[in-house]
Amino acid sequence: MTTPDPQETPMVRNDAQASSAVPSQRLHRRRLIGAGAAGAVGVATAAASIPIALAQQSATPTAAEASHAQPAGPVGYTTLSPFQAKVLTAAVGRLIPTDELGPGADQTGVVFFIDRQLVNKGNGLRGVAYRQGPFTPGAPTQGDQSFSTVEEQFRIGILGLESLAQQLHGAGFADLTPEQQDAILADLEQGKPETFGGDELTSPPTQGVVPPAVDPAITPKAFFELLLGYTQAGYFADPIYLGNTDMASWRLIGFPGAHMDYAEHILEYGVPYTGPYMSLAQTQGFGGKEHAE
Amino acid sequence: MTTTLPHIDVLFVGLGHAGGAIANELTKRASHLKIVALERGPYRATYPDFIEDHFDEWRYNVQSGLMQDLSRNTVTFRNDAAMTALPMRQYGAFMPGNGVGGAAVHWNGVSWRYLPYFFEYRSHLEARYGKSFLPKDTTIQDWGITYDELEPYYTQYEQMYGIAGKAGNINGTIQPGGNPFEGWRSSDYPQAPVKIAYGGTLFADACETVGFSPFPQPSANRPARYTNPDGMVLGACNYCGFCERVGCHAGAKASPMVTTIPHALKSGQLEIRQLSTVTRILHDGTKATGVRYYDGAGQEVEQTADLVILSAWTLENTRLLLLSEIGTPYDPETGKGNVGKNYTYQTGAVVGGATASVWWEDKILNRFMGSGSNGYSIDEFNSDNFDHADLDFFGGGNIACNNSGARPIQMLQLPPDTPRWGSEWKQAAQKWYNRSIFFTMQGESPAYRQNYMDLDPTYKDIFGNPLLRITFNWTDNERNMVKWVADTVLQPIADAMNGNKQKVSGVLTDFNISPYQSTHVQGGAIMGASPESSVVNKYGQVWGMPNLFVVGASSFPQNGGYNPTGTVGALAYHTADALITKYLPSPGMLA
Ligand SMILES: Cc1cc2nc3c(=O)[nH]c(=O)nc-3n(C[C@H](O)[C@H](O)[C@H](O)COP(=O)(O)OP(=O)(O)OC[C@H]3O[C@@H](n4cnc5c(N)ncnc54)[C@H](O)[C@@H]3O)c2cc1C
Repeated sequence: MTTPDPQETPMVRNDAQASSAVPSQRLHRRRLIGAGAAGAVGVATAAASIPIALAQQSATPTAAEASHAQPAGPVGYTTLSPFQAKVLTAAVGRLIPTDELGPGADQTGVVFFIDRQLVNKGNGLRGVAYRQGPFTPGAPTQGDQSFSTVEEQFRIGILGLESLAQQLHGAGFADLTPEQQDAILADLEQGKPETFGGDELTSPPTQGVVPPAVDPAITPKAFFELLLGYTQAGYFADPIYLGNTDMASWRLIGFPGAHMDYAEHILEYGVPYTGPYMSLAQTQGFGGKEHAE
Repeated sequence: MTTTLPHIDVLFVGLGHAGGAIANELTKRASHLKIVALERGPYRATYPDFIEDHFDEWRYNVQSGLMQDLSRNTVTFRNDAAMTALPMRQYGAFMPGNGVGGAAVHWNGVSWRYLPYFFEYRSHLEARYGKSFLPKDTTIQDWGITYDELEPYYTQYEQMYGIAGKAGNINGTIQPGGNPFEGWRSSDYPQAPVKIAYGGTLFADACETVGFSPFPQPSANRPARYTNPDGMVLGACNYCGFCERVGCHAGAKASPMVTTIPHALKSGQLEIRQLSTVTRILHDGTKATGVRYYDGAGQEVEQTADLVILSAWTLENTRLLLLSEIGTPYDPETGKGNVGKNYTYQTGAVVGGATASVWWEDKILNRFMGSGSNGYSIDEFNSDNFDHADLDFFGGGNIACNNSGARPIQMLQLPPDTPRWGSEWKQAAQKWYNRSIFFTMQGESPAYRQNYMDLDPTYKDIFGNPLLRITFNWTDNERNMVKWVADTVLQPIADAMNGNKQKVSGVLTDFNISPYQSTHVQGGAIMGASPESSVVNKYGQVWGMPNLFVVGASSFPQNGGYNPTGTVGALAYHTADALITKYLPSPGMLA
């Protein structure tokens, strides 16, 4: 058996840090000074209603940032059908809309993110799952007991969304008005209807093809939570997963991304951080050296 | 066909925080020993594994990239014996580690010592409040070891890991700025506190306004490069805000992978077999003879040894004892048997516990900066540091504001009146992400007759062995504790912060296996003064099987209002010392 000699492990920026030990007394003083100074900053920023950091949040990416954030080459769907992608694009675009604050989930690759997460049926929002039976719904304290894969949950949920749109408005979900779409999503969130299932899940209706038994775990409410979970994850995850195009969500909220080092900034209490937004696409492959800041 | 490998001296089952510490001491002080460690996960180190990509919230924090593979092994769970236990199919209230170094590779590094009286908790409470004070169904007990006995080993552990903090009590003299409630320590922390993020200081200021004494939360990250007594170099923290659930890119988070394990490997005495999952401890009823395991190719192997150290974390420690039919399984009806007894957790560390958030319109907090343990704490309401005579509960917890980096998928916290989606949600995300703090109580978790572990009758792991079944719920004691702390302590602190919005909650309902709460899981192979009340003695030695030691928080009779790992470390060094100075010279039950 061979193991790397851990003593050869390069330590990142240790030497620079060696001198920055903060004796506890100074730290305590710093805390009080910091708090005072922060109070002053607070007054200053309260005057301007949108502080500097937020103004900077909507800035367009630099060319270098954008080239790192964008996948190279053509991007298509690998697990979703174009129909499913169309319904999902409409739905995620209502959960996180494109509006005056910038692009929403519909314009930042979130459906590509979901598509890639469903490869090999998907693991679910929290990683690899235990999939042995028997399957029973259990109590709410016992966690997700779905028999179905995440891919199946999306399949049923999308069909359910589509059929609700047809029943209520005689049109596909993607073709409804934003208000109509919002109303359907709000119903699902509230647990209305209580179940998916029935004829609408076999589309188009074909003689002799009976609707599938639907995993009781795939309720409209559960699908809503699944969809919201994936939408927010795809919106906020690193762009290497194909969502969060141009780090748009990070720019919106002011999260700088995959940074290695804030040692020189953490004690700047109340001072907006002005470093660049960084994706893992920039961090990976730099041999562990902090990207020039 | 089962392969049988040549006999060795010492065998470790699982090589994480506790196992790594003991293995390293053995290589230093018992140079004749041939040691093998069987570890079900891979060997991963700072370089090349953590250095450039552990800034990935989706892969590591959300999808639990480093944790035990639940498709192979999980637990089943029910709140009480009337329910049918079902598997934890996805993470999960806690996240068992998987790989050399164990969960300590991806821990936060909040590193505590328990309060001295906590090791004699039942005696202490009965002496102070009388025998009828404790709820009837509580099975808390004294540990069979005292703080004074353990103090040198806490010190040894803290020096090995370069723990950063501010002493509150050096040899009985209270130190300004430290925790006035802590037990005496023979020396200060080896490192000064980390640079604490703004949020922590806002919490500390509010605590002082209310009249409490905040002190820096001890941390396994440190402000400066540190060389430990073995000559191992730990890096300085970069405050990158990607700490828990990931490996540290700077070698700054103390873990076995930057301290004990690489040092032990240098001796040439330790052989680590990766991807080796132990399924049985072999024994003849009075002596362990070795183990059976599956190697990385899925082949069954038998390895014999003179001494077996079970260091596979609480759940697998307990399950392997049960599967191997060592000791008597605990029966909650009769109270007989000890294996699986006193399963405890950490009361309401995040979900449904005593928690508080405050939002300010005019403050920028740079919440994405931080380290695993970065903040201030107060201990006025921990354990029995306050008078419970007129309260309807016993126990309490440490209250802290920790700034470990606010990754946006999981830690975007928005005011309670915010819609969950749509343009208003987006506006709120923009406005509030960087303007809030969160603080919480890590509550103590007492042991109860009805909370325990045994083997599941239905569900199996990938090798066909029964899963471990956990039966656990909170009781009114913890519900009352959480509510009282939220109302009496968190609320005034939140008020003193003068935010624009706040949320304080303290409603503990039924324990839920689904949302992450903490990987602080104790009991199952508890220690005590006699075989009647425990599985192991104070050295972790199994009563009636002197060459089998079970180490880790499985030995805690109950959990305190602190994270457990500092105490796991101290107990490991205590065991190592006893092995070297007492057991190896004269194998047998240790007095
Ligand atoms: C996200 C996270 C944050 C945490 N933060 C803190 C904190 O801030 N403070 C604190 O005090 N604690 C914290 N903890 C808990 C801490 O990590 C554990 O208490 C500590 O690692 C336990 O040490 P151990 O040696 O008992 O187990 P581990 O370090 O987990 O080692 C056990 C090893 O045994 C192996 N193993 C298990 N079963 C088998 C088998 N059958 N065969 C072979 N090998 C096996 C495992 O793969 C593992 O490597 C945290 C944990 C997590 C997951």
